Amino acid sequence: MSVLIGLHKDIDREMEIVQDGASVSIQKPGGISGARSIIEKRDGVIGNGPTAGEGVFDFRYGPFTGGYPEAGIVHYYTYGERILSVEIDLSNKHRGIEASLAGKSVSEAGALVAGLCGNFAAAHTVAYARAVESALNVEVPEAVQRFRIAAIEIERIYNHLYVIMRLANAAAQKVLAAHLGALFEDAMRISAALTGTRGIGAAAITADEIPSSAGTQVANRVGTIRRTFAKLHDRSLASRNYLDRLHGTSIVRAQGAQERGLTGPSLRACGIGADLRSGESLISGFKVRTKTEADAFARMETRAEEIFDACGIVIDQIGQLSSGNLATAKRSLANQLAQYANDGSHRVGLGAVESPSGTVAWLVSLDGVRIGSASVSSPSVFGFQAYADAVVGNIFTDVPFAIESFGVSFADAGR
Amino acid sequence: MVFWPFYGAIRRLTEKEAVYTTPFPVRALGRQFRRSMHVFVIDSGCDNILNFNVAALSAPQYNTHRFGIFFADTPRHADLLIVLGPPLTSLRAAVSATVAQMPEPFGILLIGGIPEPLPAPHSVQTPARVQQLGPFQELVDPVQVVGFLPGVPGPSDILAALLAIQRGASA
Repeated sequence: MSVLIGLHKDIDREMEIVQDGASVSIQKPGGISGARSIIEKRDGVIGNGPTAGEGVFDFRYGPFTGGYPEAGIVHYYTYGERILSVEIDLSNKHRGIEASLAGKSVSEAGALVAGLCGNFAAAHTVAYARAVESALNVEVPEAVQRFRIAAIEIERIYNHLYVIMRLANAAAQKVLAAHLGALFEDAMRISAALTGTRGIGAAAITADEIPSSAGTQVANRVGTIRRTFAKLHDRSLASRNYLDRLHGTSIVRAQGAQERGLTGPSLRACGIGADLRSGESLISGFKVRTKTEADAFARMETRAEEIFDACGIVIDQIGQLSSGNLATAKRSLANQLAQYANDGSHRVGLGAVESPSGTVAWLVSLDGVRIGSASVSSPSVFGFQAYADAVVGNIFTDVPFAIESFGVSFADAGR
Repeated sequence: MVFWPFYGAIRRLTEKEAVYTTPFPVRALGRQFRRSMHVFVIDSGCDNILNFNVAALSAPQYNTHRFGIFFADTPRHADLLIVLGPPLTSLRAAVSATVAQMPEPFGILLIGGIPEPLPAPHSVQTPARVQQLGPFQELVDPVQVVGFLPGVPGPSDILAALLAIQRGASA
């Protein structure tokens, strides 16, 4: 199924970013409507509109609350218990990053792209790099591709652990949450060991080499996370209190959600096996994880299974990477990019990555090696819309399980 | 796997306190907070990785409760307000409103939103100190600011600053 996930304006012509299964492409406008209205409204308010009626009021949640760490405003329309409709204001964290890229060199723009959403920084940076490399027709050495895959998978591990930790906390599973917190911190430290920064960021494309001993250490530590998480996850599934809070909570209607741009583990938890990693030739034996229940439990289980897969991918990619060949490969890539320093031609390129919460796609128009214009499709926009649709009919105590299970971020949606 | 309640005790995840030192300017909040300090965190426009780093402070490696440092769910219950990131225009009013909700005495720790060179926190307000607050100068009183952490500090850096604010021992 072809799904519209982004819009781009290049000089005076419009383009659409369309995902079909494991591929993302540029298409002429007009073919698909689905998520267009959501994309056009993403700098303001999305959701399913206000509700009026006897006793119905607007419960405004945010921007600063103890329950949700990021700044954002959600309006719940309710008569006090059941949620009747939801509006989500994405404007609070809108920073105008796409517009600020215009006129910047591709390397200057890379640093801004990494700051769009810190916990999806590797995904955004690699998608942006792929868009630039596609526009300039640059061949990316295999070592660089493997390093990027490893960085994205480490990002996936700590994001998924964070989501499951938040779900455990919401269900008052404090012992489980503490142990998951320890693994989450370990995963963040692994990203620092591999790239020099917690949260990876621009290091996903700019780190020149892996510290000589880091490769083996990273593989060992990721292996420990996988073993420990397996024990914790098995133990957590024995808690009926925990499962009861997740089963049947905020069920997504698969077909409608996909048409409205939902991607990532939240879509796969509905039984739709769309994952950009299945098109990556360097990831061997990749299996798309799906569930059918489409509720918060299915989303948690999908993420749990993806943690095991991501650990395997990191160990595999790091095992095929040594510091020497990565440094050589990065020099080769830099030399290829330098050839375009004095070339003023106009080019367009698209890059996409399966981020921890769905498809991140960047479409860039280049004038030589400067950005003419750039557009991003970030998964949290569609994740918030799916959350708004799924939480209607649930009660207030379901809200933390519902919103955390989508793994969405206001920084990612606000751009 | 051993019986769940003993699993954590056996693993000994909590790190020694000696690893936490801060090179950044902070000052003590007051003697009454040495044994117990409640912290409320707001995101005034960071890219979310600072939220992740603050979340990591709840991990057993840091075990902030042993120092009497607790995270509050409302500014009304907090002694220290942590502000993450530079204040976005859309969130400035909410930052001011949150500061106004803090019970006296309280302190403010600014993380990631102040351009370097960092000013030294001081208990006396002067026009120069107001100026040094950069984007925060209309939002917070410099007298209340007890520390500045630039860039994207990790949880160990943030914990080191919290301990120095609590005990008055900035590195």
